[in-house]
Amino acid sequence: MDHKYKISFRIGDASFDLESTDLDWLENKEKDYVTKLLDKGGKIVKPAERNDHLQSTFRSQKLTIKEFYKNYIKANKITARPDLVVFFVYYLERILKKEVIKASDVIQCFADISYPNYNKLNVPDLLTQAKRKALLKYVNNFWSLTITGEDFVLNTILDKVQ
Amino acid sequence: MKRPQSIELLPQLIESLIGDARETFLLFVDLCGSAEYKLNCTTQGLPDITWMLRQMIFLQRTAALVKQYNGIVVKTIGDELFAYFETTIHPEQVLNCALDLIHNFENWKAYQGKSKLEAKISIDLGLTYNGSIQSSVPFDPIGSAVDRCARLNAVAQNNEIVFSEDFLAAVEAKLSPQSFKSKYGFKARSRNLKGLGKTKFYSILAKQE
Repeated sequence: MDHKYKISFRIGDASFDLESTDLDWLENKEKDYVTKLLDKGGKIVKPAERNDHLQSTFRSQKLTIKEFYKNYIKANKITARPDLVVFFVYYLERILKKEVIKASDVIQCFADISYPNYNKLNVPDLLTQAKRKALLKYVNNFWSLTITGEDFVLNTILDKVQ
Repeated sequence: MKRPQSIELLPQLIESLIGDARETFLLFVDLCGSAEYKLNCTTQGLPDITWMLRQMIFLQRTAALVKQYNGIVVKTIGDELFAYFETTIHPEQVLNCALDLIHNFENWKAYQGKSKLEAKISIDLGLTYNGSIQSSVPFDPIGSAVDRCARLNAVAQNNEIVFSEDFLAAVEAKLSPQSFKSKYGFKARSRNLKGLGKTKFYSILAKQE
């Protein structure tokens, strides 16, 4: 009996599985389907790749919190404080690559951008509000982004870029 | 999966079964208290659609989130979902998926109080074989890691994530043990698991009140 060959291909949300004993047929079909997928969706960019691309852009720009605030938060008219803290957690976690994030780190972000009356803000409450929207999670007394939170930030930024 | 039926083809059959093996991260997600909820619905004379909707919302949202993290949903078993991740994925991503799953159902306004949606999750890593018996499921992991993952899920509490020593070793190969411990604050436990004997595992309480 001939060997059976299997190919599973996945790019973004699209995927296909091929199975045959004929390797040539399989390879041709694979090329066909990959071409079709790419033609249909244009350039398919996986969320992870999109994220990497944005992060490398941020890193290459050596963004400070002030620049991040000016270019991506203020420019996108993000004024609601629970949304602001999500952007700050994104900056700390994904750009500064901070291992653990406490409420005090977020307060420091407000201080760094000279936010009016930042020392009177109830930041733990703002973080909790973002957690209620499933944008942040709180594990072992540290804050981090959920995938929904990351999507929220990236979609807002990409909308502006596009 | 189409398999040869003739006895002469037994060697090829064995080869195809053994050859289709891979290391995978395994994930079991279980909806807590669903049997009790169903019983309550029956006692109160509520239609079956009440618990059905709750369970289906849970399973669908769980499956959607697993896919967002590049996981592959294998099947649902009652109120439980079984998925796996390729080992090319960073193990911390698997853990983050589990944490997001638990936080995802928090503050869900439609389901509060006794009908609150809570999950318990187990994660494992190990060599698995393809136990698929239908073509719609290309890879259905079977193996001792799957058995252990299912047993670990049984000992998990509400909003808790439990994982095996093998999974911890995979994480610690990528992250320093100190930073992983300080970030997630997991606890070591051990329990006699059916068919597996005394097993050491780790747990994270994902939701803090």
